[in-house]
Amino acid sequence: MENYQQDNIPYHLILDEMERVLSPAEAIALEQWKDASPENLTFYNTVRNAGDRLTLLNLYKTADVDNAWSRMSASVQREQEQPQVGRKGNLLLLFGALAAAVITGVSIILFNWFSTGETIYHTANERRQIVLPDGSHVFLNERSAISYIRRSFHQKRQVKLLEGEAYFEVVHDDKNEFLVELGAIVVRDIGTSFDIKIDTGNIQVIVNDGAVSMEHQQPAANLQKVVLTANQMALFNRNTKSISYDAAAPLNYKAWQDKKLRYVQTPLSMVCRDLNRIYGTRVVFQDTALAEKKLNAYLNQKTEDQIMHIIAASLQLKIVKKDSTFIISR
Amino acid sequence: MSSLCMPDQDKDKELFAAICQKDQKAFEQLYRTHYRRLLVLAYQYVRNEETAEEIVNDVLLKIWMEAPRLNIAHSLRPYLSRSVVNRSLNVIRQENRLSAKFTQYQVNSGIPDSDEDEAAALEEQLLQLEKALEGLPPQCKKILLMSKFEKCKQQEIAERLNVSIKTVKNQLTIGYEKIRKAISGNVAFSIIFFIATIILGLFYEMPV
Repeated sequence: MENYQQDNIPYHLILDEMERVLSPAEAIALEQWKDASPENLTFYNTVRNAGDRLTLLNLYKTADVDNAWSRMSASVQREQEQPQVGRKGNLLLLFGALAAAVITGVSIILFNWFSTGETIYHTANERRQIVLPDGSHVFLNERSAISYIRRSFHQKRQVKLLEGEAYFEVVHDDKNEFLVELGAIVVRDIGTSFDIKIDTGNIQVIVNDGAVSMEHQQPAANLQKVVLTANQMALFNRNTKSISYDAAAPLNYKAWQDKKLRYVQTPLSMVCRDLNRIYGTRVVFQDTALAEKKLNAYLNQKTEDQIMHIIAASLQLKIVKKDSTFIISR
Repeated sequence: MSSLCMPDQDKDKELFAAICQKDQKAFEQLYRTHYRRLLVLAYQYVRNEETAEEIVNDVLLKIWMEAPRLNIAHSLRPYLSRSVVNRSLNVIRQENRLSAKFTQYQVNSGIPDSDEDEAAALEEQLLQLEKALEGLPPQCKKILLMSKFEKCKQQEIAERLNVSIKTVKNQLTIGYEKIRKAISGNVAFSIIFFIATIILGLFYEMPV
């Protein structure tokens, strides 16, 4: 029987290396042999290449086309069910809908313009940025609405937050204060940027930069007022009608707007709650204990896929994406 | 079916035309024809079966959705290969970008942007390899397949076949030696590629 070890080729080492059972001493011996001459290295590469081709051949022969197709056909079906713009029947419908939307839009604008001059911005499942007449910016979260009176805005900078959440970056003007009104609550800008959120039970104000005051004006005789500076938070409880104050705002309150997330020993379950709020990410834990794993990370404007990669790498977890849901396992 | 003896290219053309008309059966046939060859091509780069499948599915789904806009009826196969390779490289780049340690590393693909059908070349090599496997002595082939396809350790093979571990080593050596010689026809390319994939593979599997 041929024995290639006699040709000074350490085949046994290469075989063991492919099985990943090489001891450190053997690994060094193999490295030394590879370094000894270019021919050795070429030989080594051809053997490893043969092994690699065998792996590919195995995949080629065992790949399950039926299974893959069944997963794929789901996507094909989904795509098929979506309305095809350009099909004749639907085109008419589309034009009809468009025309209706334009007419409604125009009449709302005209109505607003000719009545009070009130301008309303409303979001459904999108976020948008609005520039007010004075150059201040409002970032409107999903399912939120603001309004302001265009005609008088230059005299009186007043915005109503009707629902949802908005982040304000105000162009400060000592002579003309900037007010956000939420029913009986008024948030008065003394500084530059802040976030306001209306929940079912609370109105929450968090200051990013500068200072604001939050005031409750009813009854007029009993004015409650809190002044907040950077990273402080105030809550108005709508049931008890009281304002509470917190010197430390939650870390990621405005991540929906700037996509910056900071985590210090934060359980994955909370991280995933944030991701769901900001990206709509859906996550399934294969083992509930994984939800308790602690993450340390600073995520600056990453996509959800990138974030999942980072989580997988830093916590040594396996994360796969199936139909827009991420499955986390060990 | 009369199309059975058609050359591949004509068959592809016919399927592609039907896909432009949103014929789902035609798409399934195209999918089944190309899935495995594109899968190994993607796997060769990304070294992960799930990722490879995702890449192949993305590329083929694009054909389904955008066929009428793609002017590739005459060059479907090279187009598919190129798309799979490009996507694979993107995945690797993304992986590397994510681990700051490797930011300097750039994938210098050297993939020619020609009409070369890389999947066909790889498939050809694999079929050649399969033939070489068939030519091995029965026990040698058996041991090699157990080692490589069933992922058995040498010790396990020795126990299951009731032979000494030295025999297993010798048989594996003989097997690799024969295969190595049989597929060395296109050695230059595959070795360069192999080294590249090992490097990429290292990055890919590296726990950070």
